Amino acid sequence: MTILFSMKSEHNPSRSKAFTFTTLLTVILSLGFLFANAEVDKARWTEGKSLFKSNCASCHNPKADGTGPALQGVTARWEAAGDFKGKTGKQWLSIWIHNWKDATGAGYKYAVDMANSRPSEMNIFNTLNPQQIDDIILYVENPDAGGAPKVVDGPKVEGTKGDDAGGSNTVLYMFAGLLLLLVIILVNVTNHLDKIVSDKAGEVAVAKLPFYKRTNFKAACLLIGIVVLMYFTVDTVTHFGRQQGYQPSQPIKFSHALHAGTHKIDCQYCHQTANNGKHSNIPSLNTCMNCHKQVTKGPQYGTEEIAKIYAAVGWDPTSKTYDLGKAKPVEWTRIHNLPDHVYFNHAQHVNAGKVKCQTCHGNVEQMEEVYQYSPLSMGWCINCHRNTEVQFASNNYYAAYESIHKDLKDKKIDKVTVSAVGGTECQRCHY
Amino acid sequence: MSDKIYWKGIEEKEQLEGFRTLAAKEFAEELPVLSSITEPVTTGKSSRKDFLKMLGFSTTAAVIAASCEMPLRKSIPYVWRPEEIAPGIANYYASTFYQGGDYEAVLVKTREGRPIKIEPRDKQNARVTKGGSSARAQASILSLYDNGRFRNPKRGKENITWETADKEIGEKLKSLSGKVVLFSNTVISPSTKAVIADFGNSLGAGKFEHLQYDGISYAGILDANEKSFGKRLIPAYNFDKATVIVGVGADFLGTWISPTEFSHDYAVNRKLSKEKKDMSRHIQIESVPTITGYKADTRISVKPSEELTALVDLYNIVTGGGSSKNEKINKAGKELLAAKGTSLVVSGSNDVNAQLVANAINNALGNYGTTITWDRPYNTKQGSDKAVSTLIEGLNSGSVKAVLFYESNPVYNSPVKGLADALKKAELTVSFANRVDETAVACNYVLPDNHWLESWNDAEPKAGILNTTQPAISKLFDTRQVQETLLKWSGKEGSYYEFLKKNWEANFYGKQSTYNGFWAFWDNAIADGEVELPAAGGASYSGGDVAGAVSAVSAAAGALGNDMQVKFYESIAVGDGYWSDNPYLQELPDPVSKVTWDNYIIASPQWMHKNGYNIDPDFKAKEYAVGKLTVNGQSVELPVVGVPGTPEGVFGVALGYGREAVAHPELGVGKNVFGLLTAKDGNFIDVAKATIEKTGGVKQVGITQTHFNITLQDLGGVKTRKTVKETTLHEYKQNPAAGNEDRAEILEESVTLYPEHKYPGHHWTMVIDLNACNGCGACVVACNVENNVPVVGKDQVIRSREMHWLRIDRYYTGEADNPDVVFQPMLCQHCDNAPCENVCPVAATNHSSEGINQMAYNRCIGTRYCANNCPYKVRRFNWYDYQEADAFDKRYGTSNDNHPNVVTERFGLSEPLTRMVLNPDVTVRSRGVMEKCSFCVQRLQGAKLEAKKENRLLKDGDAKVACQTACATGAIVFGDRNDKAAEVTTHFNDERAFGVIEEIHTMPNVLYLTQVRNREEEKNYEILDYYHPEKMEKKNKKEKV
Repeated sequence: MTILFSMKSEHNPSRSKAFTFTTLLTVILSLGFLFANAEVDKARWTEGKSLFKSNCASCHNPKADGTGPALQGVTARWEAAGDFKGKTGKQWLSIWIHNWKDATGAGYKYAVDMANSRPSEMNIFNTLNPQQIDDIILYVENPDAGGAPKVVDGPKVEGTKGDDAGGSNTVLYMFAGLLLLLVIILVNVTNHLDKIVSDKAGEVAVAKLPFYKRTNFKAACLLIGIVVLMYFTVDTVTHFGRQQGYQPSQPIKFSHALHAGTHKIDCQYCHQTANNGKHSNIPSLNTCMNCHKQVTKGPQYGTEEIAKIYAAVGWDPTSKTYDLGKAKPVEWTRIHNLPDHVYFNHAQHVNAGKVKCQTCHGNVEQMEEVYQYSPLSMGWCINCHRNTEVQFASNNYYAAYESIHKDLKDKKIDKVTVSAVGGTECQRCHY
Repeated sequence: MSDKIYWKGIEEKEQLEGFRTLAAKEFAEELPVLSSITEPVTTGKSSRKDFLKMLGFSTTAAVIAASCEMPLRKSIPYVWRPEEIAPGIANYYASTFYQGGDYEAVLVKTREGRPIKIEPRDKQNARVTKGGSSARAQASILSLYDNGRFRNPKRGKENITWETADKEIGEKLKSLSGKVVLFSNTVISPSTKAVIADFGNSLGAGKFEHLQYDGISYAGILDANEKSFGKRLIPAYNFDKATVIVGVGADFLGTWISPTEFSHDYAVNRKLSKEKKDMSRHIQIESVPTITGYKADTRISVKPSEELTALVDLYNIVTGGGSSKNEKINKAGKELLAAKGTSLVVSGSNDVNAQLVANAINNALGNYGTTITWDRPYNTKQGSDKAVSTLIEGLNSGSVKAVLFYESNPVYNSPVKGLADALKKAELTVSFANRVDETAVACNYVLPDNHWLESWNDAEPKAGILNTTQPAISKLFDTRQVQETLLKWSGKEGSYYEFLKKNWEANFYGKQSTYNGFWAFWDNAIADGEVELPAAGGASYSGGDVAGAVSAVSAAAGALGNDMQVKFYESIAVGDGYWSDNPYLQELPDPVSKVTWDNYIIASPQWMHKNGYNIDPDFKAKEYAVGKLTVNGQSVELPVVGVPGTPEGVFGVALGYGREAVAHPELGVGKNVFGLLTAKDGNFIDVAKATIEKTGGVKQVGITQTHFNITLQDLGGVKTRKTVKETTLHEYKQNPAAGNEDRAEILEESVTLYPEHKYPGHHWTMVIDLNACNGCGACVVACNVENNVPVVGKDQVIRSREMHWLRIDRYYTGEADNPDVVFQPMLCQHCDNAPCENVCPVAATNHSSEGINQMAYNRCIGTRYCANNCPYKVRRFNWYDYQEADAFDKRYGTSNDNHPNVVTERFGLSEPLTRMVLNPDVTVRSRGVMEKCSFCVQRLQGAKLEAKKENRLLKDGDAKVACQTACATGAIVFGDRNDKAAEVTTHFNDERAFGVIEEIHTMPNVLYLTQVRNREEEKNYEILDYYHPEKMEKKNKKEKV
């Protein structure tokens, strides 16, 4: 389009100034288009980050040596190790990440050296597909590209990741804007050409209304206005009742960042029933007291917040005795609310599905005060059910699905997602 | 193969116009919402303005409602979480249900500490009820959360504290000059009996008496056994060992003695399979129809007086001394003789002489020791009919000065009048009732007992079979268990729990040898709920004056005359009135008459026709002519409802209705007829001479029998469609597919344009054995409780709006005076080719990969197309927000002039207390939403999750649906058809299996097994004639081949 337009402009040197301006605009917008492509990469980066956090972070850090080596620059290191058996170093890196034994087994020297260089073996990640591995590499090579997570402030949290559609929508908007601009420009051009033609023909120019007073323009504006209004209406309505980012203040300033992050207490130490029950329980106060009989002072609030636990459970820290008569349960404000017609079972996800807590709840171990990380919308649930694989091979329950096992064996399908075993049907969640 | 015509009521048999109009429509009424738009409140005329006003209002309201902020929700964890309670995981506690004279071994399902469902215990721990359940036990969970419960002790109408009550009553008891009477229904708890004895002893010798009285009397059989065996007890009846059963007016599958147990045992010998091709033969001689009679192979329809003569005739036949005028009875006698030792004769009469004759018959047949055994007699019926008269005499004479009523309501359910007045003469009257009843109203003090789900107790339903009751929830109100109260009054320290334990240690621990150490014994008893001690019984037949009894029975029969007679019977739902304040049971259609929310006079349809009791031609209004029934000078006016199988001149009226003192006035429906029972030799006889006259009035009756008709004659070019199939045992033995021969052809001819569904994992399937189902209705109530199905009230039932997901269709065939009956539980058939799925504009109902036709309530917009298109009529529409799921709808709570149609009766399911019964795993549906059977998908999902958690395959029997668990007969089999070894797969492939109206190719996942009747005689049936000549031709061709 831009080329076509410039060709046209050659025929009309008298208007060159205006056209230069529009050309410039076009170029800027095209750049914007390119920038939008970078946004797609950011989505990949974010994906890579979350994969890294859930799979690799327990041993690796991009910048520092841990159980495993620091990973920034890993691509360059492997590429420097050279090609082998027709595969580049980078390809060998992917193979290594997927299952390092494939790389050492093939005899790739760098891999063998790498395997021997550390006392502990790396885990095998054969559930990761090549795209996911690339995403992880993208992240570890650019750990700072995403910027620090925004500080949580007030009930709405901007920038928390949930709907990943944002990136691609930006592209669409830009493209639509570009088209709109082109239309305006073309209309202008046609008008000028008309004028030139009529000037040449020596016709008496009829005074024309300015474009903004014309009926066509008004109609177009109205139409666009209606469309925009409808879009926002639908968008707002579909978001009714969603509380992504909801971060109410709680009666006790309990810090997950301190407990789960710094002290690395397992989520299910406190939320025991997540593994077996429908609900992940909010720990009863006796769980708190397992530690807080000894730990009487916190790093941030000193004794103030811990004293609230003591008051609620009826514990007298001086005499070290309980008076359950004085106990009064803590009234936490519930953050994750599902509508009454939704059945959600933690055990199904945590125990049967082996889904990490963080997948839905975000990096709670980094949250000072917990907020709702995921949108908890049906679209969000369904998307996950479409993409996530069930424990098809490892859980004997699925042995009953003989036909799917056969398809898998015959390579008709390569994975079994939740939706492949009916996980997107209405009555899996609504009954 | 028989192509009989089946009908559900006289209105269908006669094809009345009103019936046809109603049956042709899916919904009985036009859409009421439309009328409010087309005919607005003020003008009575429609206008566009009104429409716009409504539109404007609803839009604004929606916007306001939607823009409201999300409410702040609190999560309050335990301070100290009990180890066994995990939020969201149900706990089951073994306990024992014994209420209103009904016993059942149960498990109480609790969620987050509140009981939400009663489940029968597994067979190994339910030696009496054998894993079955009854409608009453299922519904009893609701009484825990009854708003009508007493919340604290009362003196008159004044609330008092327990301390005050103990002090005042303690002083009174000491100062009394006369006797103290504890008046109860049968007490089967040995520890309670010990508490009562201790209490009596504490008062001093001769100052205490315990009287037991049962509203539904078994005094006749008890007294007879005392004469024949020297024991005032009821022996065990082994219906599973009997090959020929003759019931004489005994509804042993519905109400008689131990119906849940008998239903189970009876069905054992009625089920057929490849391995077992024989079944028992059941002959029922009865007047007013019961489910037992309807289930019989041969039902001999006689007058109540002839029930008595039949006993005499049978006695004469089996002792070789004569015969009956009725050929059928002669034949029955011969069959009994041919099955000596494996036959069983039971009589439901409360006449001592009739029971003496029945004993003599069984003795002559050698049934004692085989089908009737004395090793473990029943304790569940011990009452004496003389108890009330004894009490009144004592009060009037002044010898009784204080009366304590425990689990007994004689002011309501005793035929003896004058108790309420006599009670005024006592110095102290106390009722321990936990819900309001007539006797409590007549007492000075009400000291409310705990609900059984809040109590510790034990029970010994049969000798040596000991059960435990443990609390499944803390006390909801300021109540105290009767046993604690009595212990306190007798000056004993310690709780009843301690007493119970000591009593078990002293009396039962030593009798068993399984456990070493009392704690092991006790803990296991509590965990299992049942302990079996060695049987120590036995009684020998001494006869008694049989000849005298025979002549007395003949005389009693003669006294009833040859004209009109009435029989007062116990209804399956409400019993002796104890259950009539339970909305679930009030809305359970009576299995025989299909009437809800009322009692009525059962009459013969022919008699009604001859005497001008015509059925309302506009059948929609369900108006029935009222008759005035007079017995011994007392009369009662009730609507007359025709029930096929009732002989002409015989009437039946259910006991237990017309309660005056009930918490919700709507629950006091019907009339109390206890006063019409006749006293004879001190026992109350349920049959009497009667006269009836038309009052000219009419009354609406909530009768559901022809609601949701599957087939309408002459519709779609066929006379009628096949809904049930049956055959005889003789034919079955020759061809297991007898009666079902057309199925192969139907399946062959079926084609579909739709692609086949795939079921990679499970394929849930249900098979219902029509031979085992006796229509008792336990499954219906179990389904209601499990799935939060609302109670809608009589007014809504009349409008065909009952919400039951599972109904029991009762089909008649043959002549109206004594038809054959088939009970068919009808629920969503989960068709593989479901007609409802195709028509939903929003895909709210669709098919799952496990064969379930799923219904997404939140997606439903209430077009009701699906219900209209459902050939089985199993979809239910929420015309109102029956359970107040939406707070927004609360303003419709009461009816007013502007909303004459709104529900006025909510029966508590919308009240905060009663809502505690709701199953938290099942969505409470709101107004404008369609619902239906979900195959208890919450249970299936739960079972699957358990399997996944345990890393194993789902086993057959892991997933059980609510109706299946409640069924005493095991008629409902459910499972995964993909599992080749599953029981349901065997049944699914059985030659007897058929789908209802399969010819329309819905491919239902619920199949039925043909009913097989063990008899030779043939009846006159109206035989199906095909309208289509080509069908006729085809039929002829087949016959030629």
